[in-house]
Amino acid sequence: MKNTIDAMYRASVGITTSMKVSATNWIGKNADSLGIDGIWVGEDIGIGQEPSILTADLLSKTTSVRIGTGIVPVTVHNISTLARAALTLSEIGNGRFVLGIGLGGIQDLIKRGVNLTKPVTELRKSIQVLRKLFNTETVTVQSELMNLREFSLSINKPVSIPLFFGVRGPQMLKLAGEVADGVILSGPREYIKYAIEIINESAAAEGRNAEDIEKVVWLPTIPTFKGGSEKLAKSVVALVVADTPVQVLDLLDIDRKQADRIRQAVAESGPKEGAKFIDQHFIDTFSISGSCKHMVDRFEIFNNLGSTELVLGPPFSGDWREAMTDIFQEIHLRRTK
Amino acid sequence: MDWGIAINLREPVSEIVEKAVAADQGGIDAIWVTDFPATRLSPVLASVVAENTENCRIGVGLLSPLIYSSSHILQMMTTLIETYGERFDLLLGPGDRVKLGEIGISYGEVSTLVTRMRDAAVSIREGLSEYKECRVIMGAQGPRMTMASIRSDGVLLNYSDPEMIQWAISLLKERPTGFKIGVFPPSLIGSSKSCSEHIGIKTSAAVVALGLSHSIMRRFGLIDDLQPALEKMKKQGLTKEVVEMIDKNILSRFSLCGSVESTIEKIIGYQRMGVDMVVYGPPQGSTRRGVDDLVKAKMYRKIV
Repeated sequence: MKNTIDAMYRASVGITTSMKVSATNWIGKNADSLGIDGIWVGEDIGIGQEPSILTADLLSKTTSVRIGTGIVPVTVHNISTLARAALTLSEIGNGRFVLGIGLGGIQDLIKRGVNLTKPVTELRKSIQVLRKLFNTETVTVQSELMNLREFSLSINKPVSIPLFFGVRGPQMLKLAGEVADGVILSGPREYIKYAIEIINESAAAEGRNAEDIEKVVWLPTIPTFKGGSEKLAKSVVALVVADTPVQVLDLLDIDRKQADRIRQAVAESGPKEGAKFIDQHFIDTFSISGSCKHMVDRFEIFNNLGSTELVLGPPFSGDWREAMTDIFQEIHLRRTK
Repeated sequence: MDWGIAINLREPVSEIVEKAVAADQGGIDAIWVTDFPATRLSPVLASVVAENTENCRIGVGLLSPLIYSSSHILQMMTTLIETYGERFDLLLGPGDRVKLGEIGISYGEVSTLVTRMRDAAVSIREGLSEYKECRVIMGAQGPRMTMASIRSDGVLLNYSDPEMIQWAISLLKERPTGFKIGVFPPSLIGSSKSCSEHIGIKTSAAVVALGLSHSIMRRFGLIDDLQPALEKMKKQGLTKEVVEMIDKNILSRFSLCGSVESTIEKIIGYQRMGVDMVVYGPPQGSTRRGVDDLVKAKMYRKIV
């Protein structure tokens, strides 16, 4: 199976650092042959595999797959470490690496006592600093998150590393339209439509071509045709609900009181407790779930909304390897039609 | 005795891998992927070195717990081990104060620095306890850090002078079983250039000499000799002029440089003192030629 990334949309796989080495290893080893266009590595902060090393391993195991962090939070890593990791990964992958950054999930930030007074400004400054460093410049900056003095990467030639944002709120989406090379979006269909509109409008206002900004949609995907676990799906959906900004929840056709109960349960006792309040409507709203054909149909719906890349997974449960193989076969079958 | 080489991170990944492969195939026991705030990231490079080599152990660091939290370092090591096998060792230490300052990190309360390093080593070692082959080693120069290293699996001393090495070993007193003593001096073995002409080895030696604590300088009678260079360095940084101000005999105490034959003699002397491993520091691993020279030296050592 060949990669045909000029097709209707890029089809990728999303993994997180809390996944087992055997699972990520399988994805890395089979990504080229399955025709996977990209792999996104999400950092579950402090849990499981170290994100940069996992990304390096995936880059080493593949030849034509684009691999990105999706995302690593600038709030928990020194910006110099992120820049150094990105430089190293870009060289390992011969330009196939994408650096996805963001602030991190609300729950994680609360847990770590991170409380930024100007989050949008911080993310704007972070991307400016990273671009300068990749451009061989020496940087001095002092901000809420960064403190660099005459720091450079000691490289002679500029390195081209696409910078993606993983963001949700309207101000962040606007910023993404102004400065990012791509955006990783997560949320229900109504929200994705709304987010893409904001990004495109912001890009146009900045004199940028909106089509140049990639829009990656990454929702929890739960195949039901190969024994996927609904329990696991509910936990993941509860976590997504808890991490979704209130402004986004207000856009949706959901029971807001129930959403608040879920958020409270996750904050107090974790996602398993929140899962108790998740019903089918919440699963359908916050995830892509169902048969192989149904899931690929849903991908196409998101593609029609303006998404340029769809991400499969996690959670991975049941015989997810077979499910993944079937889904990519279905995508490629439709591409060739 | 184990031979290791520190690979310079300033070159692109492809060149780093080429040198690592040459060292591995040439029989060097360990490749150390050093970390330095202003260039590529050591643990990520360690993964690509592991992917491309077969036999050598891979040293990660020096990693500073001031840059990366202990839990992050533990996560790095477990990921490397789980992915590539138990081939990794870790070197811990605070790192260069000036370089840390460039990324907004300070030593903090200096009187507690050694304790913090020791505590980091202990907690990381505990976290790695299921991996019996993985060693957590502390980088040391001063007496307190050297003594604190006893709580880890070994110490890597930034010396090459036998008198200093002997003194450091005497500080360790009774060591746990399996505790490793290593030296990590700036090195240039088998080069056609003489040591006094090679600015790379002189600069690396000067970095170590001028970075000594005052107590060590006093202990070995170096204060008067190094003071002029120290004062000059405060004003203009470590320039060639500063390096040239240091007497060549002093620089030679802080480096391992010369013909294969003369160096092997020194190494045998280290071994007699109880040193278990030598990590040949920069500029030996800065070039492919340097790696090849070290491989030849290792072969020669086998014969003699």
